[in-house]
Amino acid sequence: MKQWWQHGSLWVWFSASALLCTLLLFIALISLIVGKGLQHHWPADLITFQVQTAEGGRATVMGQLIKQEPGNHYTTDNQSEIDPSLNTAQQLLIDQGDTWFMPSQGATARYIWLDDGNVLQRSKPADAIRLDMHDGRVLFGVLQSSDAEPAIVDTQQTAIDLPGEPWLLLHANGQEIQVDTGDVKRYHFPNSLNGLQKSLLFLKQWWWFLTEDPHHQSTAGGVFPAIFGTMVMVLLMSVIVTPFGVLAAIYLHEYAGKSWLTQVVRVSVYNLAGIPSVVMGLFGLAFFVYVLGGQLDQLFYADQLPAPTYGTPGLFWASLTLALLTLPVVIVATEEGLAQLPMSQRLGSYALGATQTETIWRIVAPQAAPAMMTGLILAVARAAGEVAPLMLVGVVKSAPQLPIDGEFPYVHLERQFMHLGYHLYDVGFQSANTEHAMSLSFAVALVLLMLIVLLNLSAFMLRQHLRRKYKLVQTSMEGV
Amino acid sequence: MTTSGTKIKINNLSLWLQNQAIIKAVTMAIPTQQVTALIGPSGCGKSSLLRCMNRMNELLTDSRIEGDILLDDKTVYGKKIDVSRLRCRVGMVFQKPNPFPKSIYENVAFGLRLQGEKNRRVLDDRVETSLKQAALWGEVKHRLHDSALNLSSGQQQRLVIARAIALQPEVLLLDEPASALDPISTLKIEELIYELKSNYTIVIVTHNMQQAARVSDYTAFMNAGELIEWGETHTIFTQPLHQQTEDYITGRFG
Amino acid sequence: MDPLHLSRHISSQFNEEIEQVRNHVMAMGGLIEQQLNNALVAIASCDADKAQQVIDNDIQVNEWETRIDHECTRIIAKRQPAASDLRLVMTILKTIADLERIGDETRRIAKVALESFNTEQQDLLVNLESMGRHVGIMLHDVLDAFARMDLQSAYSVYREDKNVDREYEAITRQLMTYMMEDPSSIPKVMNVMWSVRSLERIGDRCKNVAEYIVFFVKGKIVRDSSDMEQQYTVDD
Repeated sequence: MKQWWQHGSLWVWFSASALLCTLLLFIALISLIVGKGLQHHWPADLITFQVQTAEGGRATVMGQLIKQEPGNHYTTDNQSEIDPSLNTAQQLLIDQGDTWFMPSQGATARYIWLDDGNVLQRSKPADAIRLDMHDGRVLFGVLQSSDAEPAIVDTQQTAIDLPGEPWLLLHANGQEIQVDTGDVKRYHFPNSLNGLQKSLLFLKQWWWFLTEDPHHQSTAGGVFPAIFGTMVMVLLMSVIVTPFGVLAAIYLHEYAGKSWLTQVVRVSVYNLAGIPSVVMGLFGLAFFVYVLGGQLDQLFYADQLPAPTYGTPGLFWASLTLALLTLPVVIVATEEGLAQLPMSQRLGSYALGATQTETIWRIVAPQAAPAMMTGLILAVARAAGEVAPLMLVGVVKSAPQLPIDGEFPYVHLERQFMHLGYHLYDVGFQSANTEHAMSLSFAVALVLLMLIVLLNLSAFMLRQHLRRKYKLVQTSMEGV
Repeated sequence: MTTSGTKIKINNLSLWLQNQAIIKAVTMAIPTQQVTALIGPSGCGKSSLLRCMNRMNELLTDSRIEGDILLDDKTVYGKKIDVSRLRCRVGMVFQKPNPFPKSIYENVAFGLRLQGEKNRRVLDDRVETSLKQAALWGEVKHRLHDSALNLSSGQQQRLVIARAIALQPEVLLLDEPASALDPISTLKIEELIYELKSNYTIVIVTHNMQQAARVSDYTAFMNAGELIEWGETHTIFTQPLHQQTEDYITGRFG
Repeated sequence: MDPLHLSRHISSQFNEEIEQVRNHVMAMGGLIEQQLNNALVAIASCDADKAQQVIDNDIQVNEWETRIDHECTRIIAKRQPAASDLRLVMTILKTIADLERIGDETRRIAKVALESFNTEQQDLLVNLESMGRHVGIMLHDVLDAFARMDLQSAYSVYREDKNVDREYEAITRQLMTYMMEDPSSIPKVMNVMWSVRSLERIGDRCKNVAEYIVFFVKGKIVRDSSDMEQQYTVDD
């Protein structure tokens, strides 16, 4: 036992299990986001349920089966009481589409729970249709043939230029709804699609999600402005933070001596990284937006006052605030890289008659470039995920215009913009429809994650390229 | 003595690094176009003395110097001395090969580019002659634009020497140039030193006494910052005057 | 107690190797001293057995020389000795060469002892005996000086050689007189003459060893007495 203890295999197991826990959590996180996120756009089948009601009558419900889980839900009588006898029965969550506009249905929710035991019959009618309306409504039902021509179009089709004839949609609850074809954005017959068609539709839906503007309180449509805003903001921040951070690190490490003052400065910079980001946002609002922005307005946009141009939260100030937030990361990483560069490289350069400046720019900086990229990667990762400070300095729920467009001067740094992180918060917690919002939130989260991965990956590739170019010489100075 | 003159004269030189005396009142002369070896135990100040000759010590820590070093009878520690120019005249090679992570060509051309040389033909020419002088041309002429880091350490050290002589210095300072190399590479470096002797004044610091005996014409023995003895190598290695020198080169407890 | 600092190397193995080779030189010197004494006794007492023994033992002397030679070669190859170590090895190499020659001369003397002498010629041998004693002391002294690497003793041995040379001349003259008086005795006298010459040679060899000792201590190669005087006086 003692030997086993000394042998240290306990520590191997101990550390390995810690790693395992981390890995499991990580995998759980990723699979949750990916799974739920992907599910959002999967064209699920429309199922018709024949249900026995509490009064002994029958009702019909049509919709997508969202999930199925054991009991613990409400009795049919009292919505706040849990019936223990039903706990064993399966409960089904059904998305039956929007119904709020139907006069007699009143407040019936889009998502409803059904007891599996009450379901008498399930069927998948091939002509069940899903309509996505321009106003954000989602309708499920069966098309009734209107006056003359049967409105049943080819069930394999998913989107068409619709003819002017209004459609008559028979909803599962028996209501007939007059649908003006001009209001239909797209439609499909999920039950008639085979796997391949579903997959194609799935990809299409994703494409629409990524490229379209959001509407209907962000609950419908795509997230393109948010992606674009996040991207532009991060890139702008990188452009600002890299030169500042690198130059600051070079001064701190190469030019400034080793006095107590530089040590104080260094510690302060490191501590800057510990300031809560929302405080940074406050600073950005107070200083960048009101002081700097206000000054800029008075100097250059005086004719438009009192309407502020730069004196209001906007893309530039958001980028600047995040640059300030991530500056310590870049400085620390760059300094680390500079410190790692063996003294022999510098000495070699000096010995050939190079001055300090020549040595720094020809020998030191190029070899520290991978470290600078590491700093940038960390900065980007942090910036892309920050939400709190952005809410103060430029991000909005919905921005009317993109920060870059075809209108002169093409780049509008003063505009407010949308951000995926904030969008996630918005759809997740500001939306009335919890179930729908959850699903959408995961889709947005997946996009945000992918975006960060993409940004990091490109920086990572760049770093690898630099590393290959300036393979670090592993020598150190000896005999000094 | 077959000297044609004195290249570097060290006059009563003392050096302090962080208030610690490293070199104590050393006076000696480095003869022109000869190889002078500095030997002595670790920390005896021989490397520091070498670095004083091209003022590299100033880069490291706060150093203080008394006395003087004369290169061709002119001080190198004057206020108006251009240190970059001095280092071009007095080249230096370090213990471990330290090629820059650039191509072989760019390594050799580095010093010339610093001096603003842009003429491609001049650069090509100088790179070739330097590599030839460093006995490396034959091995690298087909891959001049490969990374210098792909060379073996022996080749790297010769490359670093080529890099130094590309500036056509008058003096070459070698700080244990072969201590990190295998015996064959070491012999190649020693052979190179022998070849270079006809064009350059060479000062070499080495821990390997046999190496000092093999390559040098003059040897100086230092101990604890003091110059104990210096003279012709064959005298030092057969009949040293001081017991300390004797003990050191015969491997006795001092 | 080690004026030569021979045992102060950081490598104890090196110390042992040097100590061993020095001991071997002393052993070889001791053997040769004994050989010389035996040869002289053999001549004085006309002891043919003893003379034969000396001749036989000469092989041992040669073996010692070869052995020490190898040891020195090994030290040079393995240790690359410098300064005093280098001089010590060189001194040993040269010394054993001379000792071996002394051995050869001793054998020559022993060969003379194998010849028989008549009573009248015995008188001749008296002179030989005294010179032999003289050379014997010289050999002893020079070996002693070698053991201690003592400049003083080496110097006195060096000077002693002059006396031996004078003695040699005196004996030679005396033998010449014999030969002139009695030409029939010439073959026998010539035999004695050879031994005397051998003794004189031994004296010279001892002088050489003394020179090597000076080389070891002072690092200067001395080849004549003026060099020697110079080195000796410089020392003081």
